[in-house]
Amino acid sequence: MHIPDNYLSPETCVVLGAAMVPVLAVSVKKVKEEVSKEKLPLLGVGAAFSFLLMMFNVPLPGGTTGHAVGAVLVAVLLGPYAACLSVTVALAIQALLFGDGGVLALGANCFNMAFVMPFVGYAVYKLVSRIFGGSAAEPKTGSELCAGTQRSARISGRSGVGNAIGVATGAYLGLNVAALVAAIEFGIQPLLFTDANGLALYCPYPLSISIPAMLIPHLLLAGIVEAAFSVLIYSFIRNVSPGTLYEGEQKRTKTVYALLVVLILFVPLGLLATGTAWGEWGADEIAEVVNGSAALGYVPDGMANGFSFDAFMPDYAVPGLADIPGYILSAVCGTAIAVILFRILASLKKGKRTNAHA
Amino acid sequence: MHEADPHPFERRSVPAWLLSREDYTPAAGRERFLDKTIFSLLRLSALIRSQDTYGVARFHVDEIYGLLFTIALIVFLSLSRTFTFVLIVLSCILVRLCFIRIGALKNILAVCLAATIFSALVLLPAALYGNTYSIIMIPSKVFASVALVGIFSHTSRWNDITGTLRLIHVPNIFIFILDITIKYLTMLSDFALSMFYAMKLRSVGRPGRKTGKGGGTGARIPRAAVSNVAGNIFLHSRELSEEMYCAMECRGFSGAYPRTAFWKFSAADAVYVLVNLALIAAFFYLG
Repeated sequence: MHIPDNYLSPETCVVLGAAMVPVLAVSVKKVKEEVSKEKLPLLGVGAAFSFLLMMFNVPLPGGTTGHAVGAVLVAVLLGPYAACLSVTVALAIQALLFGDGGVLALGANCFNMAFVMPFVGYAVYKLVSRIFGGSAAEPKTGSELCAGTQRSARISGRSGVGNAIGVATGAYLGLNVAALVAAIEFGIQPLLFTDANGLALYCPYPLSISIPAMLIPHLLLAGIVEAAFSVLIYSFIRNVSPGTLYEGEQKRTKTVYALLVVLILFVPLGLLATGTAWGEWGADEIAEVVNGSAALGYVPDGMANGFSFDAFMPDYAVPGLADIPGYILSAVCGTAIAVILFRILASLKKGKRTNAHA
Repeated sequence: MHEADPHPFERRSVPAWLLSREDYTPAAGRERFLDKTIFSLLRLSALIRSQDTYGVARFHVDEIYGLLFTIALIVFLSLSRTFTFVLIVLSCILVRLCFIRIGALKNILAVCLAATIFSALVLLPAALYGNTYSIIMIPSKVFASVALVGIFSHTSRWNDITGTLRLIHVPNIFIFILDITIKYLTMLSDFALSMFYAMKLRSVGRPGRKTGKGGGTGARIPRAAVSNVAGNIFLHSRELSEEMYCAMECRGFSGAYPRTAFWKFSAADAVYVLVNLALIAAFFYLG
């Protein structure tokens, strides 16, 4: 679902990027208010989770690949605003270091995966888990925090199942709505931007092709993978380190980090899926891609002569290393950068606080 | 009528000048110089003192391995001609940085980024003429090398480093000077600190005169007093050093620094050595 550069017109990128500015501003403000200083580094862990999940490519029907995003999982664990920041950072690392998703299209990708997905998914999660009797309303206030025993009771038992159903539904719908929005962004390109011959300048596929091409595989498979990953990780964290979810509960950061290490070790599984995700072909591939009845047959002008950015480790590969070690190394780098970044941000918050008191 | 005033005696006995409101506001700016000096001294001694906790850190690696492998890795980094090796070292550094104290992390990153940006700026003209290889390679190497040194210096105590320097055949006299310097930094900064405190206490409420021309009150500007403090410290340090050298000789110090302590080998050491050996192997494999 990472839209590469030159698939969207610069105009679309600017509009979506501009839309992300107020979203990010509000998110930063909300996170500053709601997330305590001690929990702030967890945003880095959330970004790392999201980053790693996006590396697990699964083969989809139609010869393309897809991946989970983990945005709803982070939203459930840390709140939608925190998820917005975490996924934005994960996407930025991917775009700048690994060339996954365009640099110009970063705003569009953030809009789909860091804004639409966590907020839609979180809303669905709250609604569904309430229906099934879960404790979707996480205790945030001080008075609620004191009711530790009540909460322990809530964590186990029926509410666990209700919450798990909520997480699964939220993750499934969140991913699919994000895919739909991405498909719409692709689909409006040939309607708006064509050259004198009527050939598309950017993404050549209209809505009638892009929406089914994006949505069917996501509805059939990627959404289920996303839901499965989210529920598994959510239940694991909930059982092992409830302090990550509820303030005042036992917190085992070590176990959460261990989970990250396990994910990193299993990341090469994502290499099993060969093929390119829909809408992520390179300029050399797109002419031969068959959609519907015939191959496209031409390279859109915007792609042939568009913006190009040389990433540090393009496509998660390290020059001179085999695929699997290169992929693991990329995963390690991305995870470490996310964790370091949010640790520094958390320490900045601390500095401001002490100044205010002094 | 008398009952209305509960403490007639106390009221009458307090002299009028005690009841009048004291309206002393310290002249702005006068104290700033003293405060600044005191703060910078405190920071220095706190920096050295904080190193005492390094030894008990969870991932503490014996300085001997730290020193040897840091130097080895920097040499291999500069010899390396493949970007792959640099990338592998960089990713290991990033992982190590995840677990370092936040203060140290910020220091290391600030220094690394400054050095990297500077080297990139120096190489920018070459890149504009088409040499894109060195503008990626050299700043990456600079970042890695500076980070390695930063990690080493932020995770080991200075005293322990001087001990391990003997291992790489640094002359005894250098180690001696280094060792004494580090020890004296704390002692003398404490000494200076108490002198500044004394000066600050004694100058409360004095009118801020630019020079001591007025005489009488003996008011001096602190700026001039610093030279007195410095002179005192110098005299004091001479005394101290003579005494210490005598004391060390009495205890059998001949000027040589043998490394007597047993080599510990903890789990953290094992991990550190293994990772570093793997990195060196990667260097020979990748070139």
